[in-house]
Order: sequence, then C-alpha cells, then structure tokens
Amino acid sequence: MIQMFHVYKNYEGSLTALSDITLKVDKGEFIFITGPSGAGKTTLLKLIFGTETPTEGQIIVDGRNQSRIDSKHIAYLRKKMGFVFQDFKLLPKRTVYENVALALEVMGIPPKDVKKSVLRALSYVGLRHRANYKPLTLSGGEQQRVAIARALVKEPTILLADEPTGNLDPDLAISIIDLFKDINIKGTTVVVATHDKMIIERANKRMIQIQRGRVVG
Amino acid sequence: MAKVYAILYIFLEAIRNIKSNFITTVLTVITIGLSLAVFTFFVVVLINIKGVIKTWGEKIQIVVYIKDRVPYGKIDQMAGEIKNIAGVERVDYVSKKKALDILREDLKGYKDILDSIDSNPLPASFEIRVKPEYRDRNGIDKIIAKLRGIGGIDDIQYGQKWVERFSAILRFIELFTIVIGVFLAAATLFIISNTIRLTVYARREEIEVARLVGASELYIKVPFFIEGVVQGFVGALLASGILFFEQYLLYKNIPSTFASVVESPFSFAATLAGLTFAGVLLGISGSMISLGRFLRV
Repeated sequence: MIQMFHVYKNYEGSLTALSDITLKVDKGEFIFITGPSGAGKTTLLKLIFGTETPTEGQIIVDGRNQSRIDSKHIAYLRKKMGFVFQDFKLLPKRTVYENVALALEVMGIPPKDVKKSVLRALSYVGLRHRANYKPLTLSGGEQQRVAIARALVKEPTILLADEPTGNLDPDLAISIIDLFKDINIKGTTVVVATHDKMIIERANKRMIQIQRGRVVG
Repeated sequence: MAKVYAILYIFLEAIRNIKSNFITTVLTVITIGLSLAVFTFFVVVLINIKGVIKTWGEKIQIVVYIKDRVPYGKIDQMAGEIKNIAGVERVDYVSKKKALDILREDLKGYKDILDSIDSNPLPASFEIRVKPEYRDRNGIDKIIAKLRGIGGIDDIQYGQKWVERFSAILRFIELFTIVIGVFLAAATLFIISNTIRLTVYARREEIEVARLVGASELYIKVPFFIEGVVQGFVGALLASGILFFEQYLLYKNIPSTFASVVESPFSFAATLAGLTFAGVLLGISGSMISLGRFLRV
C-alpha cells in the first residue's frame, strides 16, 4: 500500500529531515512510527499524504508515485486518505457536525448520505451529543476525537495519525488506539506516529523507529 | 451525480462564507461602492470640463480683409473659393457699410469721433468659421496657406495667441484626464484588491483545511468567485445610489451654470450597467488574485 525507496527530504537551509528512508507498509497493516521529537515522524507522514514532496527518492501510495503527481491527483488521493493532525486543524467557526461533513462535501456526496455518515462517525467516537457544538468549547480529548471522526468519515483506505494521543490521559489514549485497531480490522491501513512507548507496547503491532531522520529499527 | 452535489455544496459554501464573514463582506462592498463612486464622479466632472472648453473653440475665426475697389462679382467668386477650402465651416461677408455700423454700435457714446470722418475707412471682409477638427495651430495654418492663394485679399487676421492658448488648454485637460484616470483606477484597484486580500487572509485556515481533506482547487476557488461577483454587484448598486444622491444634492444646492459640470453625460441605465460590469470585474479579479497566493497548500 505504501512504499518508500531511498527517500531524502531536506528543508531550506540544508536542514536534513529524512535521509535514505526505505520502507514498505502492506495493505491492511497497522504500524507505528516512533522516535524522539524532531526525529522526522511528521515529515514522513506528510510525504505519504503529499503535503510535502521528497527531495530525492520515490514514494508510491496505492499504486501512484507521490513524487511526481499533480495537484488534481493529490486532491483525489486525499479523498482516500484520512489524516489526524497533531493540531487537529478543526475550523473554529463551524460546528463539530460541519467540520466532519466537510470531508464528504468536498467529494460531492449527496446531503442525505452525508448526514448518515457524519452521525455514524460521531457516534463511533462517542461525540454524537456534541454535533452542534463549536470545537473550541470542547476538551482537548474531544477535539482529538472530532479530528478522528473527520478522518474516518470517508472510510479511507489509509489512515495517518500524527501523535493522536499527545495530550490525552492514559485511559483516553488507550481508547483512541482501540478505535484505530477497530478501523484496522475493517480493512484500513493505519500508520500512527507517536513517541508514547506505553501505547506501542500495549498495541503489539509492527514498529518503525527513526532517529535523526534515519530508520534505526 | 457527484458533480451536481458538488455544485450544490459550492453554492452553500459561498452563502455560508458570506454569512459567517458578514462584517468583512460589508466592508468590501462599501470599499467597492465608494471607490467606484469617486472614480465615476471624477470622470464625469473631467468629461464635462472638457466639453465646456471645447465650446470655447467656436470663438476661433479667421477674418479676411478685402482690398478696396474689388467688384461685387469678384467678391462672390472669392466667397465661393473660400467655402471650398477644407476646414471652413461657414463664410460671412461683412460689407464696408456693415463694418462701419458695427463700429458705430461698439462706439456708442463716442459718436463725435466717427462724425468727424467723411469717407468710410473700413475695409470689407469675410469672417470665416472653422470646423472643430481644424481649431488648432496646424489646422488654422493650413487654411491660411490656401487663403493666400486667392486674389483680392488685403490682409488675413486670426487670434493667433488665442488659438495657441486654446489648444494648449485642451491638450492639458486631455492629459490631465488620462493621468487622473490612471491614478484613480490604480488606487481603486489597489484598495479593492487589498481589502479582498485581507478577507482571504482571514480565511487561510479554512482554505488550508479544505485542501487537506481533499477539496479540489475548483471547490475552493468557486465560492470565492461567487462572493466576488456578489460583492462587486452590491458594491456597484451602492456606487449608483451614491452618485444618484450626489447629483440630487448638487442640483438642489448649486447655481445652474455650474450644474452642467457635474451633470452626468451618461444615462442612468448606462451608468448602472457600466458600474455593475466594473464592480463585478473588480470583485472577481480581486478575489482570484488574492486567492492565488493561498492555494499552494
């Protein structure tokens, strides 16, 4: 599902974020990408998602080469990929319902189906009762779950999550990972970047460790 | 089918944006309205000033003095020749007697001066009116060159200084109109595109999020396009309202001699159509230019 061949990513000012990354994630797999802060986890996810392009090397996602893809196909690919951002990226002026619905509206899904899917996704993350609230009135954990609902609502083939348990207490963190496992069982490929060792140990899934931009294990 | 719903969502998005950014939308509309009104007002005033100055050109005339003792038949022939010169609008014959009568009229109260003269010392003449397109130094020179070829002429006079001043003023006004027009248009464009840029900037977060959840460029652009059209249209209506009100106020409060300077040479329908077109064009181009910078997510 995801393949990277000798991928390098340098930012301006010759700061090397990733060097010589080669990895493969199979369809339906659940993997953790781990490492200390600043190791390059977020950059790796962004490369898969297509918000960054590699300086060197090839990235193939769902049979398409991300390194030479135009913006039209990026939009197409993003419709098949869900991304849970570290900072949630929820729109403060819109309600929880509207935030989640946006992911389906951009795909031109009929309003009837949008409503059904959004309410289902909100129930799934336990926030159905918060549908008409604005994100900033919710707790951090609730906002995190809204972001997850938005990533899931389009039933993506790949789910990417960047530090999804970053600011949650351990019980909530476990319940979020359980959510991801559940989605994974239904067939979605899941890639989670985290530095939370407790979570990784509990989940018992494959783990790719990166340090200073290189795969170390 | 997905396309139909996509169009529906795009329209809903535009309506939602206008609603949730109501104050910035209103500010943009006011900016467009005021800028268009000011611009139009200046254009109207300048066009009218130019019109007034052009009428001064009617005073430009050439006087041809006829030698004494030229027979009547010859005078008719001369009149015909003068009429045939390109640029001549009208030729009036002023006989010796008529010239004296005019002088008498002018010197009313100094009757004694003329009474002491026995014979009529004034020559007969032709007064030549010049066509508008010949009312400058070049045109006058051309006509005079032709006049010199006609026999029986004693002297040719025209207000040389006046002609030169007139063409200079007309050239200045023309240049002034262009310079002011360009300046005002540039300022208007600058103000409007900046206002729109600020509203787009305020919404860069929404644009980014929409991009990240897979919105196509069209999905993001078209709502801004629609908003640009709406803002431009309402702004144009506002500008028309302001101009209409301004004309009403000026008519009521200034003497009619000056009123002609602010009177619009365009019909109300033409003004409305022109402003709407300009407003919508400004709204759209402002939106699109400002948006271009934020689409690279």
